[in-house]
Amino acid sequence: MLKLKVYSNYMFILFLIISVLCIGLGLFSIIYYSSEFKMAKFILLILSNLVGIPLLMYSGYLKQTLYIKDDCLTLKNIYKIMVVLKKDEILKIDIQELPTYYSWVKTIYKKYICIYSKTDKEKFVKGSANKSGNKRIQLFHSDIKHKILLNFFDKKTK
Amino acid sequence: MLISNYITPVMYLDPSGESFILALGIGFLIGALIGGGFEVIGQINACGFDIEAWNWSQIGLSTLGGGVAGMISAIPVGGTGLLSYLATFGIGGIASVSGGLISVAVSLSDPSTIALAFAIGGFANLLSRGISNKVNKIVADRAQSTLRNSSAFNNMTLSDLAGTGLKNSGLNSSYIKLANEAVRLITYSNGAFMRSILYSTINSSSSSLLSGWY
Repeated sequence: MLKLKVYSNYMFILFLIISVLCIGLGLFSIIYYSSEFKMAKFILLILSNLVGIPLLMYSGYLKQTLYIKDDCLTLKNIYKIMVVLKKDEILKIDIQELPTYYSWVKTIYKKYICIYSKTDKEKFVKGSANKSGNKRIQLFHSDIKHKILLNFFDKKTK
Repeated sequence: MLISNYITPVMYLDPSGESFILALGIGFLIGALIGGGFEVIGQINACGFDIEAWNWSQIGLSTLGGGVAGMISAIPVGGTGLLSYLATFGIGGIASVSGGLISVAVSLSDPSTIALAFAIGGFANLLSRGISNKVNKIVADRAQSTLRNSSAFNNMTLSDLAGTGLKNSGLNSSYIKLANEAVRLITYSNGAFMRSILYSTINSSSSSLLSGWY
């Protein structure tokens, strides 16, 4: 069995850091401030947890691994199996540059290996867009990953 | 089989970190300019143009605080949909609190200043990203249609006309390349410009609000 990292560690670590900082800020406000600031503490706690908790869960969602075993591709995150694609379901393997990281300064594009199936031909328009139930998979590009996938499926890229 | 050559799991990171460093650098510079600039305006407002009376240490702190806030808020966030925007909000909030602590706009002794800075910074970052992306897309679509529509010559700029000249010379592929390059440049420069303007506006409004609040 082969394991391929789907996205970079950057995304996982960044989301983890943001969530820990946000949750930490909320906890800090409870521990550090006296009851005199009840309302401010409450708002800070709600705000920071509303941001921190979903992001903490999302960081796990983005920690995805693609397993290659027998004639099957299995995409998993830390919670569950997201996509299972059999070899004969694969339509094509494309390489696409997709917008991946966003900030007010810059949108950064990254190269992806996109695996489309016969039942899901819709092209990816964004990075980090793997979803449970969809019959298509994208992963960060590297030559070695590309070679592995091409050899596995014995298909040619466009 | 070739796969057997790759025995260990293949784990790769992004090969290039240049774009990230550039984004952080731009964020720091713009944030510092805005932070320092608004503090100078505040000093002019308080002491007039008597430079010796200005509080230079506060100007320095505001510049540094603005820079740090700008740099943190410029960290590119991945993901898609609502959660990606939530991360942008979180980063903006953290940036605003960090910058505020340096520039002394946020006080550790009062949690309401932290809550307010977090909320304003979060919304500012969210708006900067969301609106600028929207405007950027509209302008990109218009630029694309203008450059592709031969009947729209009246609205064409000098660089578009250069492309037309190439097209008339029969250099179709060169024309298309040039047109695509023009679209890319228009989109890019407009995007960067819009982002800076939006961030400046939102950041300055938040600064004013914060200083007025306290």
